[in-house]
Amino acid sequence: MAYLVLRNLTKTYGHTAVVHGLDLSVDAGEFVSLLGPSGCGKTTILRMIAGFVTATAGEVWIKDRNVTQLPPNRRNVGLVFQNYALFPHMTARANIEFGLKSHHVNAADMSERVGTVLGLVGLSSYVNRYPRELSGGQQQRVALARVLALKPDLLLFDEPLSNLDAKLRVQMRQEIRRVQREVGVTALFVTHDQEEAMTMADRIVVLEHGRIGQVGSPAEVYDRPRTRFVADFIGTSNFFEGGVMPAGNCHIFRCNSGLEFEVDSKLADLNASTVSVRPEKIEFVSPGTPRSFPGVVQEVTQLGPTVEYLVILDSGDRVVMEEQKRPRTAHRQVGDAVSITWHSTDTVFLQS
Amino acid sequence: MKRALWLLNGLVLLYLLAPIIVVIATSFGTTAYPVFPPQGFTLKWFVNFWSTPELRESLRISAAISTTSTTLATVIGTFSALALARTRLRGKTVLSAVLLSPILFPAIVLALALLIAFQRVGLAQTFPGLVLAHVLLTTPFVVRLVMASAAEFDPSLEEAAQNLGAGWWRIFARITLPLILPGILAGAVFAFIMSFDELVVTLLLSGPALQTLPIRIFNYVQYSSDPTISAISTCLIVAWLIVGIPAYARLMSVRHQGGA
Repeated sequence: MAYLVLRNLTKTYGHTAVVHGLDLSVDAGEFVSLLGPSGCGKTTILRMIAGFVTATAGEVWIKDRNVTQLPPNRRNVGLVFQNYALFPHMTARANIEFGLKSHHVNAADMSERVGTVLGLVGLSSYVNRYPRELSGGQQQRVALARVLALKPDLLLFDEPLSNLDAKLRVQMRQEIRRVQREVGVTALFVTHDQEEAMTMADRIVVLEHGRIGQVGSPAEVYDRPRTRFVADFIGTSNFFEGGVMPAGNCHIFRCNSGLEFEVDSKLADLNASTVSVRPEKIEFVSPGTPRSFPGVVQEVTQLGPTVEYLVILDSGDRVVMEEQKRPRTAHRQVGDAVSITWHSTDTVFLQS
Repeated sequence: MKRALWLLNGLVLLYLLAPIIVVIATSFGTTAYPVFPPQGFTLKWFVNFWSTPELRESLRISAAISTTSTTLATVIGTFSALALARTRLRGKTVLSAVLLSPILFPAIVLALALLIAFQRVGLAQTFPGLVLAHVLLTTPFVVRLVMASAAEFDPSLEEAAQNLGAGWWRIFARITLPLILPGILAGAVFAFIMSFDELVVTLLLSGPALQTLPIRIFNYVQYSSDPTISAISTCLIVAWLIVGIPAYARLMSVRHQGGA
């Protein structure tokens, strides 16, 4: 059996179901991100695993042990809170020692473990400071050290980076991943930030209204989204509505607008009524190129290393595309007549 | 404009402080009745206070009643406040109003009600009866002050402690209690002062053998006018300055933060 198993996990408040029969298996040492917009139930799932929320139905298994009925203090699961929840009347060291004392760890063992985790998170020189004397990033490290000192079976993160500024957030992502790999602990990371999930996780669980939209590696979830919700929530997508039909020995997708493009026969889902294409998969080609579509540039947005264009095709479809800036290449202007195309394998079929 | 305001403030302050200053001054005067400005200087009224057995006995009774009732009120008030600050029950507002209602009742009404009730169960004119009455009067203040502290308390701290393996007692003793302690202490000091100073309810419930200091003073001034009363007042004022003012400051600061 997998290391962490959620079986039919369900939470309802009155008549409102927040989490619907969730099934999920996580392997030992894996870093899994629960990703979704606010209200998708991700924090409720985390709190059910930690034991602060009682599941209406279903089970939580950690290391082949059913912990569903155990109180939070007997689950050996470490939770890093969104606001860190450091004890304000205790120094960093006392915060870390609190858990060890709760577990009756002897003095020698305690000072060794505190030393180890402080080294791990790089905080040794701040141990005697109170939380209010520490920066946001340092508080975050104390919160992490505090749970790591207990050698938890499972590490849970509840949007721990949302209170940090942008630069520090990127740095802490790497820090958390490094520490997690070094310790080898299994981790579940709740976030609404798709970039955070993409850069940190081994596997992403995209949640939609308390149900799993898709589970997969960051590349799978991004390149092969299963539903319109996933394609829309993670990154930007162009959606086309219509239907697939055979055309000789290949297949084409005919949009309701009249636009037609060839699709890969092996990937084609004959029942699909919606397909998506990522903006960066679309490119400009010289007019008249076979299987290209003429249109006019409507908007140009500078994104730094890339430029985003909104192109209105002659068929009336609005297409967003993103182009990498290249040496000695001028980018297009608003009003330019252009032709665009994308490869047939870059069209993704979405389940309705 | 600003100067006028300062002047007004000064006058109000003088109006408030003048009687206290007069009382303190007269307690050192040598005349057999309070005179201001005092004539001469003596400590004999303080000695008189201390050497009058009834007055000393009253001080002892007052101290015993106030200490007992404060302890009970603080414990009851603290747990009530914690429960009220946490529950999201619909009856919360009603419950909170009921708990705070003794503040709103006219003391004399409460006193009569307690007298009638206590006479039936044999608690009138007894030490436990007086303690019970004082607990009733002072608990609301403890509740109010502890609730203010509890409102500032971040509930995720208790969850964090539980996540770190602590049981409920350890969470309460090491996390919750230390963080709401300022409110509890302020509540206790406030309750003690209220109880020590209480006259109306005590007057109706106390018997001849159970005269608290305020009652003794009340009776004393009816047949005697020597400055012993001034001396007692001076002692109480000094005690108030040492413990009461800090507690009051805390109450005010809580109100300013709007965290009630």
